[in-house]
Amino acid sequence: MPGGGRPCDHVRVMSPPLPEDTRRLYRSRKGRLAGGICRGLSVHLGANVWLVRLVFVLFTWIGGLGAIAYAGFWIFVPLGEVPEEERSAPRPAVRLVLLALCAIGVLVLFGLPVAHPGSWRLVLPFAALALGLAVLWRQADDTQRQGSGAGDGAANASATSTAFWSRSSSNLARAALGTALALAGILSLTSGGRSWAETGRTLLAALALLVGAALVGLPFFLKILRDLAQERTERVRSQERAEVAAMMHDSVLHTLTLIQRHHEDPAQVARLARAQERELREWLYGTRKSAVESFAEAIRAAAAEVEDRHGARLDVVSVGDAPLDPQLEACVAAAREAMVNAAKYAPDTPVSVYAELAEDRVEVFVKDRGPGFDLDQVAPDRMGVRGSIIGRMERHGGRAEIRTAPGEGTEVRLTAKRMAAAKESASRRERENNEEGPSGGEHSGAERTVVEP
Amino acid sequence: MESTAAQSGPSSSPDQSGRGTRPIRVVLVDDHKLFRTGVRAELDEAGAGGVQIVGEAQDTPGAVAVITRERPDVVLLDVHLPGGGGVEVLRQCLTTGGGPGRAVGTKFLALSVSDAAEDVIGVIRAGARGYVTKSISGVDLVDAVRRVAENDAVFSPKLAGFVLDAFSGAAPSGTAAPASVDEELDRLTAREREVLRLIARGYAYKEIARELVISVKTVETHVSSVLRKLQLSNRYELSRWANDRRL
Repeated sequence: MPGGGRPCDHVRVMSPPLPEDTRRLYRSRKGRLAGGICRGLSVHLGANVWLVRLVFVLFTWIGGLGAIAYAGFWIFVPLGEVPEEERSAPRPAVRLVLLALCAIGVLVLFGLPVAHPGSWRLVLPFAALALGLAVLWRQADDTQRQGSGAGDGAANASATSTAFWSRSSSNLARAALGTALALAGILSLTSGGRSWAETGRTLLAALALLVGAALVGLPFFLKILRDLAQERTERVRSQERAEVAAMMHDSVLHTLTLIQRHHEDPAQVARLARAQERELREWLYGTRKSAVESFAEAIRAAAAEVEDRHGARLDVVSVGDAPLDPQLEACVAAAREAMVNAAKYAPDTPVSVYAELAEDRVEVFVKDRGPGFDLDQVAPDRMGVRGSIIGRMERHGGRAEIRTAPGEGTEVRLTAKRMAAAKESASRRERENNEEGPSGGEHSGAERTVVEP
Repeated sequence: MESTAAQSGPSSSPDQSGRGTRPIRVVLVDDHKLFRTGVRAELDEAGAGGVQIVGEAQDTPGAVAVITRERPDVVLLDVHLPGGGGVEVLRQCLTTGGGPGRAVGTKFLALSVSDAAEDVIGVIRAGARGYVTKSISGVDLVDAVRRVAENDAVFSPKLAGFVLDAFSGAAPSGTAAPASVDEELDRLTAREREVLRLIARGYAYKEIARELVISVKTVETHVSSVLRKLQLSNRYELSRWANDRRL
């Protein structure tokens, strides 16, 4: 069974609004034999699956009522969503055997073919028809699932389409098989015992009728399709608009109100405006990663916090990214300290923060255009602040330099050789060096002595 | 007062920092009137007659019309505009139907509030000579206009960061000489990388020159060369990476 579908927002958007706690009957996607109806009913009613299945089979005995009910359920009950991880692994062989057992059971219940060989004529077409329809409807379920997967976004489109192409041949075969079975069933039911010529004529007439009906119905069908697509885009658009409106209301209008209230305090106004700008930018262009999983986001978050607290403006530029580890965390903390200093001593000029994360090293620069100072003149008791930068970096295998002079501004430079990545890159470098030959071996040896603790 | 001084012609304003006698003719394209007024005031104040605004436009067709009529030295171009945006303006002015466009001599400086990678890269690849954000100070903006008018490139720290990101891994430390033109376009030299990093760290061109002990002109040359690579390189990172950022 192709199981590439994923739960997606699309379906949730399309379903009509319902109170949260309303329980609805869904056809089950998990552990189903044919349409997942018995499984769905058993979940809905809290009964054993096999009991439900037995009821259906028993009712089939009474004039085929069970089978008809089953078909009705299949048509009208929507397919349920199952989270990806809960979906059972497909076991087509087991399912086939079970289906065959069910079919034999039904036949035995009817008791027809064994007793009177003549009634094969009646049972076989029905069986063929049912089987063909089951195959076709199953396939419709699968394409529905694929369609919902493709709705996830353009990024998945290529993946979905390749998967679709690899599947399409088997899909086609199944569809052909199902159609052939169903048609054969109908034909042998209708033709009865008449001659082949007569059957052919009937067939031709039926075909003509079908084509005629298709021609008549085509415009309506197309219109329905078009309306559906239009409605869908309309809905997506209105949802987007609602989201923008919520953003505007919750955050922008709020800030504007606050700004009006604080209009006599320029520092406060600037701070509010800057915080709002940051939030909007994040919303519009943001990467939406949390500060925990991204070094660049952590630096940005630290800068935002310093901006809020000290009312300065920090422009952050970052190159490269990786999840945080203890060493990078120390880097962020030291950089934050440097930003606080810059914001304190150079409050009126923008502070530039540049963070570069390469495979083997991390560098952060914090540069302000403030008054600067003479490094030699700093009193020893002020070393505490510098200790929290320099000391922290040194504890984590890095260095901190401070470049400054009166009137020149100050730049704090934090560098460290990365520890977490160093191991991987060392092993990779070793591999590369082996390929390159002995020339690089010496270098890699030196690297390894540094890396291995 | 300033504008009359600027229009009165060549002989006035001796303090144009060596940039000939003719003021730089600028067209301002932005869909916010408030912003245009602000920039006009800033340019008049900080430009000290060296910059003359000869036209304004608020949408794409209007911008193309004004630019073809006025043939300004520099166009300050917003990225997001009604009617197609800055990229469309650039396309119509620089390359129409594959041939040269209507305003070939004009230089474009993108001036946008957006930091988004696809905006920045898009407008640069369409032919802008530089990209600055709207938070730039008046003095810096005049400086940038002057630089672009002299056919140099202007990179904001953010743009420098983008370029470093997009070209990262292009030039390993022990890089051999590039074998072909294509390959040359796909990597930055060590010097260009250094210059970009200093821009990203917030250094002005003058400070970069002092730091690397080279002349300001050399810094400008490096930046222009990076711009050329950014515009011509087929590096798939440039597009792929912009897509990545979007998600």
